[in-house]
Amino acid sequence: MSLSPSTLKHYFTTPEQQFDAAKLGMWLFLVTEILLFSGMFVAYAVYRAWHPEVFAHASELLDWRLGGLNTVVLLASSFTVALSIHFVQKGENDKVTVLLILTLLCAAIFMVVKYFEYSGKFDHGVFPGAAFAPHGEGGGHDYAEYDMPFAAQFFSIYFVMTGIHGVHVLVGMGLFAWLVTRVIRGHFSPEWYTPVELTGLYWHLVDIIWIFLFPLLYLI
Amino acid sequence: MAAGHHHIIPIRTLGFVFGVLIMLTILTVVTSRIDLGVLNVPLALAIAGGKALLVALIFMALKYDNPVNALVLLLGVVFAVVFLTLTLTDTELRGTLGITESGTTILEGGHTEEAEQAVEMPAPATGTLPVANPEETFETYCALCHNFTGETAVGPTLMGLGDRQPSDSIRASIMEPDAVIISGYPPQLMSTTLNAMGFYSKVDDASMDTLIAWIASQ
Repeated sequence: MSLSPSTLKHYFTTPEQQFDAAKLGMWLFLVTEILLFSGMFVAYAVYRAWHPEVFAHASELLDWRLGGLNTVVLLASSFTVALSIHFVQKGENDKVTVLLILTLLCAAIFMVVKYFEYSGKFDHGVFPGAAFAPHGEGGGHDYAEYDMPFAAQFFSIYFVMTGIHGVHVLVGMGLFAWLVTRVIRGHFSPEWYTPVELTGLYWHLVDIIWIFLFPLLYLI
Repeated sequence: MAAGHHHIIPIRTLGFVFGVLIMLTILTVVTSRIDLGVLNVPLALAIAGGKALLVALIFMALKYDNPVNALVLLLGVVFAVVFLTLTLTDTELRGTLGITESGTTILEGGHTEEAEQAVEMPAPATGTLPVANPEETFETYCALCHNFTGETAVGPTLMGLGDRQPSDSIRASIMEPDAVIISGYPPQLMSTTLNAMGFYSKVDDASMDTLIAWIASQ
């Protein structure tokens, strides 16, 4: 291919080596992401071990149906990303465009659901940190019941974990929008599609993080 | 590079994996709504682990990839597990080490037989402590020696105790005051006083829970 991004850098011997190096670099970045989130998972584990009763009570405020819906939406977006790589490897770029737009849509649905979850909490004074002051009634919950010692920490952990995950989803949306414009401009081919592959890896990791967040926060 | 160099994962495989992931999601929701006792958490984590493995092996193509990428991922996971294990080993096994004040050291082993007897010798039951009003309990039984202002009185201050100690340690400090005595404070004073006031015969689980929560929240 004659497109400039696919040209072999002088310090690589073969395009294959260039591709593998880019991918290894991406995996190293993904490991730093895992370690970033592991700090929050450790905070979660310590909190849960210290205040199991408060955890059990406070987590009732999270709606597993919304969390489950978001899980399905993210899994579907991982599927469309995997399919887009299948088709970019075959050179069927029209399908790649459609699949990447579908991925973008799934990510948007995820963020909309998250918006409703967050605003439902904020309306009743369920904020992270010192502003925590639950009040009012809604969705079968008497929010005042959740104004107990250490409940604020549960919601701080919830908001920080899902918030940082949500920022990753937003970044992913930006990346997919960028990829769509590049597919349309004909930048990718079976010979060179490194950005699609690497963004796909990033997106799958965001999915994996949510695969753990969903049961830990909403279910158990 | 030729397309043949890269493994193209068949649509059938991708679709099958997606189907399994959705079914596992349904499974984890269903099992979480059944009370399996201690098994609920490990089962949910096992299902999540299985889903993550499927995503990593097929969607992220580690199964077909240069093994060095899987090795990098594995190393990251190993370090996350080390992080989690060592931290929980600390926070779960530190016991009453959190009771420290500047200029004091902790004396372990102040747990004498006499002290244990003093705690376990029940005075006649004269009614239980108020569950809904832990502050009243505190004023009656604790405030003589403890405060939340940071000043050292007869006993050490409880200021910020909730940030320093898990509720289990606070509970142990109340129910068995002589198990650990901070140097400088007289042993058996608290257990004897509380026993004389009938605290141990009046307290039950519910009033203890609210008292600890209230103390920790001050």
